[in-house]
Amino acid sequence: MKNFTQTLIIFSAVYLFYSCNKTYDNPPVNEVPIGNVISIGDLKDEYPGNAITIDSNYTIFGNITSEETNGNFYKEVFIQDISGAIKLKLKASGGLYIGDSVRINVQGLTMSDYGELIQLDNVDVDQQVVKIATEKFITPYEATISQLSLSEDQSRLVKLNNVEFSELGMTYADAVNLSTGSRTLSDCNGNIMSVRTSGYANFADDTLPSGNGSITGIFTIYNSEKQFVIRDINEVTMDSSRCNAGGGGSGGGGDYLYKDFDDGSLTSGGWKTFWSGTNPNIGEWEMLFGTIAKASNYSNSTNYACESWLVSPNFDLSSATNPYLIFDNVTRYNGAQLELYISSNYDGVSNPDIQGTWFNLTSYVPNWDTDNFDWDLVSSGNTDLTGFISPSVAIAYKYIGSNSDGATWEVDNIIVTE
Amino acid sequence: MIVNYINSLIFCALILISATTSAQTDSIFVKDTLDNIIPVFTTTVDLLENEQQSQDISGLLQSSRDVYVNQAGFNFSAARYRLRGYSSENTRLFFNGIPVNDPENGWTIWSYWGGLNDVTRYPENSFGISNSAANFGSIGAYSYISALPSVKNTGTRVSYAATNRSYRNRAMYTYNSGLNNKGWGFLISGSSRWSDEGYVPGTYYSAGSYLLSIEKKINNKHTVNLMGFGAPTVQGRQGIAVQETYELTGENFYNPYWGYQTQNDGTQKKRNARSRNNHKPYITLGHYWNISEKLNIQSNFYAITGRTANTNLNWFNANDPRPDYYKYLPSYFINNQGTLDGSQIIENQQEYNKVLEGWQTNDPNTTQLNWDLLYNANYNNLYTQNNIGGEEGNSYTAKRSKYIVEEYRLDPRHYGFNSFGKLTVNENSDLNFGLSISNYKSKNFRLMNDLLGGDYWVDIDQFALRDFDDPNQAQNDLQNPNKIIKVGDIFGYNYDIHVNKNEIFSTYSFNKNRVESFFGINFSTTTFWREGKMQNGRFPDNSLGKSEKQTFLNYGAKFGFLYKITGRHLLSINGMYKTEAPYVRNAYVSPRTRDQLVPNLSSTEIISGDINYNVRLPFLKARLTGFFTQINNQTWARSFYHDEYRTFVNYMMTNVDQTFMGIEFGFESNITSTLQFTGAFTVGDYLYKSRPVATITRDNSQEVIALDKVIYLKNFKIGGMPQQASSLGLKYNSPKYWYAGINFNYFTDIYLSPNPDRRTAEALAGYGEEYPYVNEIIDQTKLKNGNAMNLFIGKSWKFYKNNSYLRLGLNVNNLLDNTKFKTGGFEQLRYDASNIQRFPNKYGYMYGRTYFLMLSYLY
Repeated sequence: MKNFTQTLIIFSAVYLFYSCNKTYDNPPVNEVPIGNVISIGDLKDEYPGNAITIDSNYTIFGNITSEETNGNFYKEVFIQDISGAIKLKLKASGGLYIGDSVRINVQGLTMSDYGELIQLDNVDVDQQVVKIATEKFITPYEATISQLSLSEDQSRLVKLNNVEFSELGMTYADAVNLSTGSRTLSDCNGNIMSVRTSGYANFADDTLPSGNGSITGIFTIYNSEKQFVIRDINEVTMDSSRCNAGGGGSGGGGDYLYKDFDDGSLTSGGWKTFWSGTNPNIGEWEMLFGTIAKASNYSNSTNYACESWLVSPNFDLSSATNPYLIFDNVTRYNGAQLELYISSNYDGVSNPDIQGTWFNLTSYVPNWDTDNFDWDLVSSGNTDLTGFISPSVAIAYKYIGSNSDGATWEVDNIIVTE
Repeated sequence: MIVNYINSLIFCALILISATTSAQTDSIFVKDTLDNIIPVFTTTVDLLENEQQSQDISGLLQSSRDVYVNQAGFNFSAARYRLRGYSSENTRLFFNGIPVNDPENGWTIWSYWGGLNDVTRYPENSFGISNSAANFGSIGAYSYISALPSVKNTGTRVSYAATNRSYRNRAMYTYNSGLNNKGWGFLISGSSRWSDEGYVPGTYYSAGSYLLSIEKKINNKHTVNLMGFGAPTVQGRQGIAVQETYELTGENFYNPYWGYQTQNDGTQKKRNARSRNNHKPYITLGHYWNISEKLNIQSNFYAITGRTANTNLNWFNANDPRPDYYKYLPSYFINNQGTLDGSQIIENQQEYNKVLEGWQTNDPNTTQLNWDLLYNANYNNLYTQNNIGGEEGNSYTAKRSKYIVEEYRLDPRHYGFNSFGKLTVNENSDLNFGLSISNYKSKNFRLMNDLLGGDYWVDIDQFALRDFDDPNQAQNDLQNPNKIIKVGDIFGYNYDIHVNKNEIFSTYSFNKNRVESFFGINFSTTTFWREGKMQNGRFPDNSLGKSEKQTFLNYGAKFGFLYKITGRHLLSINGMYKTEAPYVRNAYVSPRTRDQLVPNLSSTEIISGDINYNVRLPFLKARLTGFFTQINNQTWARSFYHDEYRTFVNYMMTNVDQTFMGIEFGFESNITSTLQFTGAFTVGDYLYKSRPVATITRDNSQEVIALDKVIYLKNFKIGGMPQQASSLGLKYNSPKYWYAGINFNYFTDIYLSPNPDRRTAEALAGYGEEYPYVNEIIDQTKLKNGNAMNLFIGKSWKFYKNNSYLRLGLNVNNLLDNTKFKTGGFEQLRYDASNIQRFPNKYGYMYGRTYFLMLSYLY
């Protein structure tokens, strides 16, 4: 029995030591002082034009209008109140989200500018910012490009209507090399600004929308240049007809690709040409009558060997169900058949000889013109593209000439639709 | 209760004072001196990552009677020595008849029965290839610990020890009734080990242990035994760091894991972010059956349950809180210029000076975690989480924690049956045989341990959030999107690993005259699979549910032949060939997220042999052994941040071949009847012998980044242990019942394990052949030689009145307080080939002078 008592003792001792697990009190809250409240507009007015440290015990109140979640902003957010907006450069990434209603004690912070965009440097979200509420969303200021003031409206949340991108077929940024993209946004009156997108943004790889519509984001400046940063790709809705619909590079809204060359440009709308050959420029794609694309390797009674590409911008077929390609074509003289290719991994920039996996569609085209000694364009018939449905598709014509022969080829009214 | 306990300690002390004159001989104190230092929680146990904790089997080695092994176990463990270079999956350990190697990785982790030293003290041991009784064995140690009351010494043993290692106090009690006349026996043991702060700053220790073993001898043929034990342990851990931090702080035991936290009363309390909280109870039911004089069989049912938990900090959309993160060290302000040497420019001198001063003055705000800041970041992070559970309009607004303490759990649910026996065929030959059936499952999940002042956490992956624009991909649990996590909730991952293993073996032994020999074979089947409990947004198709089962059939054969030239000179040779199923721990690319298998997974092959010469003279006992082992076709899997690929990767190496060869020599020589001279030496050469191939995948997606990347590891040294070690000792045994001894130990050829990715053509791709700094990338780091002197001294007394003993023992390890000896470390897997110093090696040091003072009373 004595031994059992001892056993009990030992087990109790074991339990006692084991149960003295460490516990900790919550540390006290670091209060952020309020001091004097100042509006963002008034604070910016105190900026002398070069970096200063704010000595006064100022507090600003405002709402956060951007966040870092999708990667387009890094270590920076924008804050706005009724008097204006300012950029906050953060000491550390994270912690502030769109709709946060906050107060910030700015004493001791440095106010500086980058290309005349005024900013507060090195804001410590954990130490200097107090969140009062969440999901207090600011309505964007609806304006036109020309209405935006470099000084008054900088850093403001803005919505632009009836605008479109110029570089069709390109992506927002270079997601492979993670470098920032700058794309031109224009309205129908020719006013432009650049949309800048980080290569780290999760939509960097998306193709620019080809239509016209609205875009919401932060209006920024670099000296006298107006710039714009998208905060959420869902705030870009450009699916209406472009400004000069039908007249320039684009057809009806339902077409995935439309190129009629009637604007006199081979390359408008993001089309590109590439050439390699023996005699400079002979065999390049060129404009004929200002309305048709043409290639021929015949010059001064001689044929020159060449390879010449006419490449479409990347277009999005992901929403299509039965897309097809149709175009007009005509050929004369002895020479190689014009070839047609399609790719779903073309980068939109490079020479198709060296980049992209290109599928040869030539034999799938129902009706190529044969040399019947006339110059009448014939319709190709519908070439089914159902097998190529993907978010980023490009087509390309490849003209081939040799030193001994070479046909002339003309194409026009290239349309992908369904 | 505790008062009674202390009283009994005081009582012991009084006896000591009153009885010092009646000291008498103690025939077993020689053995006991060796165990006094058990458990040696040396730098090995907590220094490195979890995987290292298994390597310390010194507790097992020290109780060996082998003239080499017990010296090595006692003296080499501080230098992270491993017997013949083998890692611990090559040992086989049986506790009261049941196998206790972890089925997932093969390791034996001594701390699961830490504090039960009175029971584990004298196991049956053999080393190398041997005729093991309970199973086929392996190439390392084989050990059988019995907890039968009829086998252990009877009586009571009470002890108290004071030390300055991981813990500072240890109290232990053991009682063994032996078998009474009705055939009942009870063995009870329990202990406590604790310290508020251990040798290393910020570490702490609080552990208990218990064992109860009941034996009933039913008749001469049948005996049954029921036993249960466990060792609940809570521990604040030590981390190792880069050399820069040691030099700046002037402290080789700098521990980045702790920091101060302000308490309600305004005081600052040390808190460790990396704690371990384990408790794995074992229960066995054994049956001992003497069928006849020629045949006996032991059978056991067993169950192992409980938990292993390790905590760590995690953070979301916030700065890395770890004080030794490379961007917070002064070198970052130099290194980020990207030059290896020459014109290094400090870009921000002011910031550099500030950081440098913080480190040099040991400012805890710089060198340690700052818990107050972490809490305040959480207090302040009001956040609205929408679409909880995927339901629109289901929102929650509260403080969302940016920093948390999370707990990684691995909870075993293991049961099995084994049976083994011995048949005496005739007077010269025996047959050992057995079978083993093991059903193992581990529940693996992450648990919210502490929200650090915040209200909730959301179960999404922040890297996936940035990488993919489909929000579903960021979900860790697709079936509970945007799940709100509170303390005690499971999040992140949740899966089971199943391992079923069945094994049979038989060994035939033949002993006659001058020959002892054995020949054994085994067969086993191993089946494992993963069962996902969460559907991961990045891997919706292969994260949930049972994976395909992987089955491996393995076999082995061994032999041993011993020839007695005379009774005092013995020559023996042993050999083994076997295959082993790959361990499941290395079989999956990233088991936390998916069931994708490592490509080319196949069995490991082990070929091993040794030749031994033993001398047993009255004045000299010695053993000389040469050994050669090849372990081929191993798999190695890790996950880490890869700078070139700029993403977290899963790195898998297959076809890893290693060789271990060397010589062991140990002797014990009695110079006089009281003075003993001992020595142990090992010279090893432990190498990688193949060019493994690596497959690298992105942790976040199915993307394979590199396939069949050739790793130029051939002839690199296996790191993390001394390949050569020597010990010389003198011991004096006084006829007046005291003893004293001293050992001098010297360790050489210690290498760091090579980071495989630095030994690839790709790592050097940016450099021409003549580039002078290529060697900085590919050369293996060799550590400086080290030494340690150990002292032990003790005395015992016998009281005739009640036939009891009192013993006092003191061990001093590293007597000269050598704190400059780097015993190991690792090359960081993250590296920058253009600036190899950006992510330098991490090192751990041998403890300085430590002592272990124990008083024990036996009655």
